[in-house]
Amino acid sequence: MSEWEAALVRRYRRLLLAYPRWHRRLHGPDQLTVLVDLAVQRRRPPSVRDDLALVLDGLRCRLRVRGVAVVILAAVVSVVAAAGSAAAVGWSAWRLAVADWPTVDQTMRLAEPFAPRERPDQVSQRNVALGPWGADADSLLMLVVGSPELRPGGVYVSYSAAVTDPETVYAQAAETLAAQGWETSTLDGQVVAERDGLRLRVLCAGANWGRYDVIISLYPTPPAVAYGFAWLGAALGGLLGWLAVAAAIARARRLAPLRRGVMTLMATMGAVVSVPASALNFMAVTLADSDAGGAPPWVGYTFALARPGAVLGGLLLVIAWLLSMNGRSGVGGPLRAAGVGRSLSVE
Amino acid sequence: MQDPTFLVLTVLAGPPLHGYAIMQAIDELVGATGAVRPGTLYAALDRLTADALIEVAHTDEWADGRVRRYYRLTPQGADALRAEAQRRQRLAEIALRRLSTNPGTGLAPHPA
Repeated sequence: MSEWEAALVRRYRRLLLAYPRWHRRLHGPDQLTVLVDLAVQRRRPPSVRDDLALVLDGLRCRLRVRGVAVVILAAVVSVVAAAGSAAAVGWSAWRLAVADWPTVDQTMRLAEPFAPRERPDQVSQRNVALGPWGADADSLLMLVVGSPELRPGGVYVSYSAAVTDPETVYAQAAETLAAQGWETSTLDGQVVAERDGLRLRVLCAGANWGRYDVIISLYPTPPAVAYGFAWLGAALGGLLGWLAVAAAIARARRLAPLRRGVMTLMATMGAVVSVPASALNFMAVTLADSDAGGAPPWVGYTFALARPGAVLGGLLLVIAWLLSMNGRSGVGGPLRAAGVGRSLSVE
Repeated sequence: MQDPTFLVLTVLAGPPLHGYAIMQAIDELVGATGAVRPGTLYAALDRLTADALIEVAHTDEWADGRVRRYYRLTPQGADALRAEAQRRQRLAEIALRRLSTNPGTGLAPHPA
């Protein structure tokens, strides 16, 4: 082999990395020979356009799925992977960006200038972005099954039937907080103030005989960056989900029919039971945002039954993926008999 | 059946051919250079092998890790090619008949 041909081989080996591993194992050495033959016959090295075409063909090969059922499966798994990835990336970004949880003392100090003079009827604190409340909140059952009722975390201080004129409370709250450097606004009639990554809300509600309850809450502002990263994670997860299905299906074509059937069944069941959590999560990420103080980007996985469904679905999908593996070469049947897959030079 | 698949099966209806020879035979068949790209060829070869329409007849291996794999039609592949060729022939005949009988095309009837 001449130096020119050796350089060509090295170049094509790099370009063939655009193809999936299973393809390189099956066809890589043979395709490499064709590419070198072609360049030798043309008496010129491949152009940039040739290289680009080869890489694009390789990427298309990674994405290619055949058959309506497989396309549907790939689409559902992509959605599941996108939602899971959005949740994981959103959760990580949230943890990195969110402020520390406020304390009850901190809340009382802040609310003192505008809160009713009497002692609050209820003070509660829970340091989770969104989760169950009450006596069962920390039970193992809630952790495993998910919660039937979710509430945003933070400190809540409530005064029952404490004021007669909510507008005065709102005005005092807005004025005091603004003077302390809080950025104040009004949302659905409530006063909302933000500073240093914390959000304080003042709500007067539940008029009873002309007297209103006052509820003051303080919690970390949902970081906007978590939602942006969640969408980035969703795009990446969706792509990876599709690629995983395409690769698994391509490998599975050469599996024994029984194993292929079990793999398909596992993948289908896994995708189906994961759908509720994924759909809920997508709804949350789509509808919620940091301004509205909505659900965090992993909320879909906290709902009752959706969480075990997602875990079970994830497990089934991983098992299906493992079943699609077939030893080192991934080549069976007549191709193996003909010696395909023995040469690993283009892996 | 798409055109690249039909062309690959057509050129393999004979002695076994390796990848580069398949590309050359297709170029000769359609009268153009580069009618099928290597990427398209190997997508078709992969699909046809998985569907058992073609198989590897034998493989030459080089010391540098390259191989030259020779493909041939299987009996199912021959049946599929025959069925597709007949379908295309029927369509071509219909097209020619319509062209020769439809005065609106402005074409003279085919001399045959």
